[in-house]
Amino acid sequence: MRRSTTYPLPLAVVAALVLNATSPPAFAAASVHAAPYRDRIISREDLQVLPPDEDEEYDDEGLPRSVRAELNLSHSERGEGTFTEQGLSVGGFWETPSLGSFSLDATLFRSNRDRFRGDGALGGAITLWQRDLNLDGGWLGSNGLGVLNTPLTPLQYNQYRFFMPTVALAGAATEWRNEGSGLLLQASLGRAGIYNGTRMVGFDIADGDVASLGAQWSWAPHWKGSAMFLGTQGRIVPDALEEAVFAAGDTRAMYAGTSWDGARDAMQFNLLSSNGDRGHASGAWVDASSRRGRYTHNYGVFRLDPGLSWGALPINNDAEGGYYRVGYQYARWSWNGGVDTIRSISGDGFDGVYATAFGRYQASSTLGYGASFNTRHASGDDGGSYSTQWFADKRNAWGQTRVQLDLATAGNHADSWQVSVDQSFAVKQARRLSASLSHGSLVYDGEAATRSTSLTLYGGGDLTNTLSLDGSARWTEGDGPSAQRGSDFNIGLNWRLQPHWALSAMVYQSEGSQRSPFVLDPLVTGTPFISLPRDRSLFLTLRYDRQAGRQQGVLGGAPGGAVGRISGSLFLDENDDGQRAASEQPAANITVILDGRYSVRTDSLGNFSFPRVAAGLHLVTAVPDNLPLPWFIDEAPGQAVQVNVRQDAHLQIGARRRR
Amino acid sequence: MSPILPGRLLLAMCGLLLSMTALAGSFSVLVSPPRFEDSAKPGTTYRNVVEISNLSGQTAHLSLKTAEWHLDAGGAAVFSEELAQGSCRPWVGLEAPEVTIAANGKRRYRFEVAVPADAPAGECRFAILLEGDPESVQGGVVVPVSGRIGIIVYLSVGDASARLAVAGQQLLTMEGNLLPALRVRNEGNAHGRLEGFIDGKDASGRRFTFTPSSLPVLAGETRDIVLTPQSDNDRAPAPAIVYPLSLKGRLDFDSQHLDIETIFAR
Repeated sequence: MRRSTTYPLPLAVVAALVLNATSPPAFAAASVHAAPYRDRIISREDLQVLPPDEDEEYDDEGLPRSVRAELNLSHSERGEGTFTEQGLSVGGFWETPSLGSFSLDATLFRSNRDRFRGDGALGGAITLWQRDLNLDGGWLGSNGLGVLNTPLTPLQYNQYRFFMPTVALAGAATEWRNEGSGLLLQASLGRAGIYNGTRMVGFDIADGDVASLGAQWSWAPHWKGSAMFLGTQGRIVPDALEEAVFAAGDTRAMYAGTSWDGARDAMQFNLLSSNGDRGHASGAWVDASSRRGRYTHNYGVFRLDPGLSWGALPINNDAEGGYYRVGYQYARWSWNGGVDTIRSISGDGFDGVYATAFGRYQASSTLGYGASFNTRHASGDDGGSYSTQWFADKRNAWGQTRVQLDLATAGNHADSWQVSVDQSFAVKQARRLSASLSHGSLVYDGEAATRSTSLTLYGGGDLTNTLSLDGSARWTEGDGPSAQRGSDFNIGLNWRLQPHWALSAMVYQSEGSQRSPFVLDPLVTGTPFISLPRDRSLFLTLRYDRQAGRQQGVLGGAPGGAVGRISGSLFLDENDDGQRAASEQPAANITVILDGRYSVRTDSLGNFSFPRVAAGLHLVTAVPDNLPLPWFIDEAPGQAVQVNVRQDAHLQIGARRRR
Repeated sequence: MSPILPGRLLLAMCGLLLSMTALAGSFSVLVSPPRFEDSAKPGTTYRNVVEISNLSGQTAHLSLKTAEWHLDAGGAAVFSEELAQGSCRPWVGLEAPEVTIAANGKRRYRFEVAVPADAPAGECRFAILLEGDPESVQGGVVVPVSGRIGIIVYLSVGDASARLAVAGQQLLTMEGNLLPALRVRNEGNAHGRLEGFIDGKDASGRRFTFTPSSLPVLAGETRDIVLTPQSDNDRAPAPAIVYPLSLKGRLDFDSQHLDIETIFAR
């Protein structure tokens, strides 16, 4: 039997040795009368050699600050083209005595890819954030300059059934919050554009402007109001390779909402009006929730005119109807069910009913099982569409196992089915390994069935004190019109050359992906940007990073803080189990913020890290700005994480989508 | 498996650690991790490292030694420096009997357990005690004061495992609530913790799901494990039980389980 060294969260915060006026009563007094036992002392030559401790040369003078610089080289084959990128990425943060904290992320790279040639083959992006500037009267200000996303008010962000995307821009954004009154002011202004680059994040500025102005306030006890204007020039659409490109199209949109929060009930009213090249359109929707003991009810009505727009990305429109969901959660049981009735206002969209049900039973501490059922019936559709999923989760000596069966029938087309086994192996701390095996027959968009078998491995960990490996690999064999054959992989090797210096190499190959036939929700907007073309890349990175600052200034630190590390990965949680299965895709280029102050971005494996964080409780928030729709992150206020001294607190943040 | 330190042990240790902060003020040390749970094979040497940080602005001089420990009836750790019969402490080696850590400094401290090749399957359980130098309290009255902390180590050797059995039951009052408790005996050679769900129905017909306390049952000991009813949600108060209460279900530990079917009455 193998037990891992696990440190209980609360106790690891601080085990402080303090003076005591008397011997602590928990210590027995037996030693007073017994012959004292003398411990064996390990001879100097038998002591294990400890790995170098970078803390020993840590400069703890001044306020905390860090710098990071990377030299990057990439060679990629995408679609029919081959191109290279070389560039520099720099970043860092620094605290100031009176101006809050600053974070910088900047890239500059040269590419011979077609889409860059018009810009002198140069690409790049720069983002500077100043956060938490304290002013008199309880005001807290944050200001950004460079490549940003338009801000959203919390009322816009906390949507139950519909999602409002943000818009990327090159310009400035500002946010002012008054903790006392609850007033929040937001604004942004800049040039429209689109993220580009392969290994490095660049921003392609388009011919158009973006502006937003918004506020949220408390106008009565339990009541909040919010309003936001967003004007954009340009629209993001997929090109022939299903890559995101910018197209002409102007939108000016105004959102207004108000919410009421009671002890057990909540309600939010939303109005959206847009005007632009698609004409004038309006939308209104009401979401409500009630909590009664073990039950939670969510219900609402909506009407979204055809052509309704918000920014550059598609949103739900041409639909009216209502929905009701009920959820039950108690001890072993978790279940929910719901129904949507949807009518296309123009008559060109979906008209019908969508229903969903899910149940999970925890039979024991090691075994849980359940099923979900989704059905979509369109008016005039004889057969309707169904999808169902059956699963069992078992914890065993090997780790955690999920066995899953997915079935789908779409109208008169052939059935899709898939059997999969996901195994997350129990490995030593700071290592992870999981495997997925799936086999099925899938029907895409009414074409003939494609048989497919795939095996995926995902994992990582330290190979030696200076060498670590991280990545995923998938092998696929198929037969049919949409068959993929061959292997996908995304593997990174990191070599710590010496303190502060690291060299990493990454190989990446993707055969592309398609929309799952098991997703039936008619209100799920298209996902063109995760359906990538065939892509093969090699990345090399030489990295330097250094942190300094007095001990109490470690990230999020209290006086006298010892430090640990937070690392993690963001992924698209296809099976919605909260665990990263080997077959689930990483979410790259997502901003992750520690304690609302220090931000980093996920890399192409979806990984992020905060290397030096004060021991204690912290809040990690993922900003889903660049998450492909309709994925969202459930932990809106962030995820609490406990950091223990010299330990790596590893987070797995799964983006979800409604089925 | 993700073992959780028992709540009362946690409280007891925190109480111990924090009780005299105001009195002392100038002297505090942070130790991480506070607990090790691991395994080793006979004939091998298990090695690990404790990090000790001095949070005070003064140099800290600490002595370190091993100790026996067990849990009292309330779940609090009780330490003893006397060598117990059958103790594995003679296998344990420490880096140094005392260390000095500069103000706001830290130090990695190594220890090892050399498990003999003929060691029987079982659990090597000991603590590493850190003790500060006696000091004087400010304010004119000279009273020697000192502080201690115990780092708990469980090291499973060979095929050690818990073997838990129910030896009785009773009702216990916990924070004003009368709750069912199972008297659990461990006849195995490693500690065990119960987890899982028990379904219950009280005299009023209300149904609850109960979960067991996460206190470990050490090898050879018998301990009361309280079963706590789950609230409807995180804002709901603890449910009131009307006795008699019928319980039925299965509790797991390691890869084994205990079937429970019983009635609790006042």
